[in-house]
Amino acid sequence: MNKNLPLSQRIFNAAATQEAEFVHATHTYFHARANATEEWSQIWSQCDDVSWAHAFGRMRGFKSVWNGSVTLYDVQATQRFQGAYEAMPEIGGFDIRPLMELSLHTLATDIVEVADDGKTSRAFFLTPGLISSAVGANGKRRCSGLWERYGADFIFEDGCWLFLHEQVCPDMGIGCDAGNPGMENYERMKGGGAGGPGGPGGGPGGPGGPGGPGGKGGPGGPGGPAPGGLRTRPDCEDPGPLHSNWSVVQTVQNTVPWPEPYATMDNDNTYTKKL
Amino acid sequence: MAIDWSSKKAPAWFEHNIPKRYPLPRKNDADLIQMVTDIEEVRDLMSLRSYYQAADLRQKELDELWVSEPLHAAKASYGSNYGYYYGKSEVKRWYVDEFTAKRKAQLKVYCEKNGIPEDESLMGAGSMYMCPMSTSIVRIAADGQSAKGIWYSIGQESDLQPDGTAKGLWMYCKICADFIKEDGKFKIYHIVCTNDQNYYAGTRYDADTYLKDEDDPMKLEFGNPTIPMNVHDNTYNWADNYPPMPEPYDSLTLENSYGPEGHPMLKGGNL
Repeated sequence: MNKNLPLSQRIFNAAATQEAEFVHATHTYFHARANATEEWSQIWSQCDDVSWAHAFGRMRGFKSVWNGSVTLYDVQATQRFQGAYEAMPEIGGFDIRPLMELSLHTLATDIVEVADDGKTSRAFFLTPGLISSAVGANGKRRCSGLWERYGADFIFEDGCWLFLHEQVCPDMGIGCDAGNPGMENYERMKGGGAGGPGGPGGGPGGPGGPGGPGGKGGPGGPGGPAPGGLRTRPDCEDPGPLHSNWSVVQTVQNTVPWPEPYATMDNDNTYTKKL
Repeated sequence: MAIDWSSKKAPAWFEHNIPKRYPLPRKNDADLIQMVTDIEEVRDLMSLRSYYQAADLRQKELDELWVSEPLHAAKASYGSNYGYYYGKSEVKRWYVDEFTAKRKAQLKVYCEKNGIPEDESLMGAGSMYMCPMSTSIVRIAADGQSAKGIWYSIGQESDLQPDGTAKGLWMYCKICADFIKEDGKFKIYHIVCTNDQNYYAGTRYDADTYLKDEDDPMKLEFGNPTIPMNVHDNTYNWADNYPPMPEPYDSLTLENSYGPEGHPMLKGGNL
């Protein structure tokens, strides 16, 4: 943070640092309930410059992001509802979105920078998280771990701090209970062994990919079209892959470098460069 | 196939709902820096609570970090999925006294297995309870006299067992709390710590959708709360949205608190 600013600006920037953390945490709690409509209505700018990116690519512009992150995400919820209803017929009348799963990405290891001009801020987080549900594919409770990193840009708009860009970089998915992600990956790469818990892919902010099959397989990717034929994978203006899951042969990636102090948002200080 | 946005346009008035946004409060420099430092005070308070908890300093936590004014102490509470301990003495009954009894039993095991005389200075040996705090949102009341916050904790409990072995428990918890100023310092007033999943480490987790008591270690550990009730049911993930994220507010009341009076089932004087 630049300390050579007028006191008033430094105070504003201190408050802005907290707001960047709170806006991102608000995403965490909305996403845990699969409340995509609320998230993209309340804590996102709706301008043409917004972007949302995952391993599978980047959507640019609010309309595209809304389609991929809200519309198609809700489609996944309707698909999951059918399975949940079989196991829990009493759920009729519930908001079906949170029934899909609990996808909780905690925020840790924050690095936040606010521009000298006070108009934008940038943040980096590591996120150890989980995806859990009382009804897994085998009809039992399930809980998987998911380690990712976030690079986020925020904009100060009409007195509110709002998301402008977000890039999610999934690094590792593990079975929370007895999983050994290193060995399971090694076994998969060698072409044998049991299937692991699946890659931490998924739709935008969405559920993790299905469990990895036995035998050789690459890192789990984003959730593709679900059974039933409805499409849930969004169109991306910047096609991926933009980041790869960890594996025993994956080289080091620094896809969303931590932010450095900056004067104003430009192509050198952003998680989405202008084309 | 790419979406054809030009021909697929919803009516503008409900296209993206009506945004419900929370502007950064307009304050002068002095008031803004007061808000910033109040937020950090509350975050530090909850982190300190976590350190005390990890060091088994639960009585110290209640003495130093929780409310002590009688009117507040009488309404202080600690909630979990299964109910609330209501009133600071009730919180102590479970949070301190029952925990201490458990640790004393573990101390006996520890000393027997190691062939050493029982020594209370060794209390806690072979066990650990740790709940790191993350993902915070803190709202300071407009009147500056209280605060509300939310955190998420991926926690663990490693416990010495009666046979001398040990067991590890993973705990995934949403923690919401109210804070109120006493003598100019924020103190913990209400905590509600709901868990989403908890299970023993090192075994394939295959509990049923509808948990039985024996499959829910945290329920067993929560004992006999003053107000036994379904505060949060993790069968349905977060469908009940309880406890909810804190929103900006003017002043703390019991009805807008994370105490039992603020639970949807008990609002309106149903406690």
